[in-house]
Amino acid sequence: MEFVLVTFPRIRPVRVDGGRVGQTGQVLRLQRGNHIFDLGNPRDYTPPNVQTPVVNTSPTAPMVIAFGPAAFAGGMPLAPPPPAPRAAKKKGGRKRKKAGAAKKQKTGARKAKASAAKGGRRKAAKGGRRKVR
Amino acid sequence: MFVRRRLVLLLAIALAPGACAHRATPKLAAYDLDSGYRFERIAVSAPAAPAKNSNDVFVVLALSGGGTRAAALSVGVMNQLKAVTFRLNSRGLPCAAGEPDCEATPRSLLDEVDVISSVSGGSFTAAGYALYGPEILSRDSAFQKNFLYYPLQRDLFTQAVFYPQNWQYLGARTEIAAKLYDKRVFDHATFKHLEARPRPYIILNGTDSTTGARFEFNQDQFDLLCSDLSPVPIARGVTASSAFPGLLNSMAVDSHNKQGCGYNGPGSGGDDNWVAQGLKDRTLNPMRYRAAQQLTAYRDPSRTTLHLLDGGLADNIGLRSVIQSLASTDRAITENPDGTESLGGWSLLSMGNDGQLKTVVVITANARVKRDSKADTRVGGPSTFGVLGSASGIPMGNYSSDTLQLVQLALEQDAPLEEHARVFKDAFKDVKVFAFEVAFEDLPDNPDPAESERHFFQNLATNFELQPFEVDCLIDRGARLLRDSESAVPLPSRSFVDFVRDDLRGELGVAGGPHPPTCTDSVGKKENGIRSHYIDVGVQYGKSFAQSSDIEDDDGPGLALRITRPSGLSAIVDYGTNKFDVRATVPGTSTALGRVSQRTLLGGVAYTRRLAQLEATAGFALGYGWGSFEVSDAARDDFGRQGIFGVDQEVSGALVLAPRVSLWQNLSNRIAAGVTGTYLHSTPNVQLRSGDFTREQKVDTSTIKISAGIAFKVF
Repeated sequence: MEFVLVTFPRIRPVRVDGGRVGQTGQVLRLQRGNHIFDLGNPRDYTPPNVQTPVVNTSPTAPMVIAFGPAAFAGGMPLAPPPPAPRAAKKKGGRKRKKAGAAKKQKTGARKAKASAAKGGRRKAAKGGRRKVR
Repeated sequence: MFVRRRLVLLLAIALAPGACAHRATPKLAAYDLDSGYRFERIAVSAPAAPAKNSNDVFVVLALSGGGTRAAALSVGVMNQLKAVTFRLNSRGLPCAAGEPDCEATPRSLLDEVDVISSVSGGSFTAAGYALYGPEILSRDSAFQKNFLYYPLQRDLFTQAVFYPQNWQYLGARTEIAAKLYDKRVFDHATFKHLEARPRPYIILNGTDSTTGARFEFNQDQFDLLCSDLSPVPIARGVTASSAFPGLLNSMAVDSHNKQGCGYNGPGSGGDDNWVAQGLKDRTLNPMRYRAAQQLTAYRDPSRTTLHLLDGGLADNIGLRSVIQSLASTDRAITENPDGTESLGGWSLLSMGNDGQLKTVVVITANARVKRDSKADTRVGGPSTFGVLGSASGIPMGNYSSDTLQLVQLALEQDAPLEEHARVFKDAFKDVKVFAFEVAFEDLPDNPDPAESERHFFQNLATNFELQPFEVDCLIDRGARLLRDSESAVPLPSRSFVDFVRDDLRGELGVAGGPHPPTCTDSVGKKENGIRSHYIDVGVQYGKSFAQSSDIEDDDGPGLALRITRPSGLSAIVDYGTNKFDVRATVPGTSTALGRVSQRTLLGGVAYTRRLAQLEATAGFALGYGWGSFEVSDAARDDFGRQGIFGVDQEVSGALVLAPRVSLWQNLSNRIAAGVTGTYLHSTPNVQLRSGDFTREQKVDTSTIKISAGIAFKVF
């Protein structure tokens, strides 16, 4: 069994391999292997999906997959895509911490975007989880 | 000498290839996850209020193979589940009567059974319960009368051998079995009928004979073949699940992938589905990779007809689909225009991730046996049949043990992790998981095998004809074994009694059904009658009494082949050899002219009445006889004295009439004795020629033949 935490500023259903499996901010249990993640409709997030092998996770160090908001107009994103993924790994870093993304969700696209970027960097710095975008 | 040659027919049956006639599988009009027999389309509970089932207590039954033995054990387990009553509150948590928000009417744990995954004999009980509900637990139910306590195997044999209309299916004997089960056990019900029934959702497991993959009888599986399961009789699913290699041939299911049905599910292209992802997992997750490969193989348009074998070859305890559900979110999904999803398959892991589960209980009724064997007490190994039995049985048993361990592992992984729950939001934090196994090895043993219950059950036959006493024992001990079982997860193990009392806050009543006090070989010998014989071979001695002056009395030993059938009309097919000494008047003197050897092929009807172990049959057969004539030395001498040398002889073919009566008594489980009286009549022409000499004589071979003998049961 593998453990994955999908983050987004709001609570959204998480789709794995095309089907809904739980929601953001909650650790999902998945079968080891390659999976494709997205948040379904509306497609107001970026990246559009994340394809990644899920392996070597543990209940206390799940893989983190972060989605950020994307403003839409006529179906096209107005804002540039978020920074390139940072697979943050800190050797020996397996600190316990609260599920920040889930508990720090804020409303409003701007706040949410800023929060997600900050949150992502903060988690990366602490290095407790692997993060994929 | 009188010889019955039905053995030829039986050998032909046994060796016939698994092909020819089969019932066509309808084509699926269009791929649609919102139609057909699928987990997500089955109502959780019957429409009646209050609801008796919910996802909060999710109960999965896995019913193993093992013929009537497995089916009866499963009924016992269900009896015990029915005797467990408990209540839930509005949040789906167990509560005690009188507590606020606690339902007034208790429900039974049997009401909460959501999925039954079954193999072979267990599939009869699974399908029977899904179709008829708890009424199958009654001794008076049609299910018990027509299946559990009925010698179905005898009917199957009769249908195959005595009914000419079924001979076209001899190469595909599963078709005969499917027709019999359809009529006798499932009353012509189809999967369409199951779509209208509430849970449990049943998974009848067969095995794809080409790939070795599991084959489930549900629309998700049939989608992969572009075939429509709805009009398919339930009996066909049960038959495929119980098509034990050797006894039955494979069952054919048509694939319509060449024509197509608009399938756009997993494996149809694109990355956004589990098959596309799973095919990348060869090293990362070989099981998932293999599952993706197997699904792809079902989509192969060049496979126009699939051949299914006993589900036990892939999984003899029906747990593989449960493991898949516990450990994987892989399933078919269609996103609808309104944003909703239509789901195929069933995934407990998805339900857990979605917070839908509170208590998961997996109960396995495992009818595995461990028969006494004397093979290792001698240098010579097992017979050919013994080797065939071992080759099919041993892997099933070993694989079953592995499967049980896998399901424990999967359940442990689905259990909440305290440390985890403190750190993360975890949908599994309140989920309780339990796994109980009902198996004969938990019965009390005794150094004296005749007094050992464990020995009694572990040596029961795998067939569809057990004695009533044996069925009673299986039903009762099935319930008792569940009551006394312990859950493998969580650790330390928890007894079923504690689970009911503490986790369900319920009550454990006395299971219904028979309650034989002792089930041992010593008691069984007194309770059981003599088991039916289907095929006996043996020796007999016959005496023919000539009914005309043309032939002489004769006598001698012969072989006997006896094929029995239950009361009623049946067909006779008989190939035999008869010999007659012909007397004739060779110019001037009466002498033994020679010996007619006549081979006869007869067909007809017989009526049988059976009274306990005594079977009386009266029949009439009509056919054709042909053969040869051997002039005797005495006749040649007579001809020689008259200057006739080098006589050629010939006997013509002739119509043969053969009414007969017989009485057979099964003396024990091994031996039968009987007497047969046959009136045999034909009038062939005997021709003698030598130069200008020609002689033609019509010979009346009318005889009454009385044979008596002893035969030994081979089936």
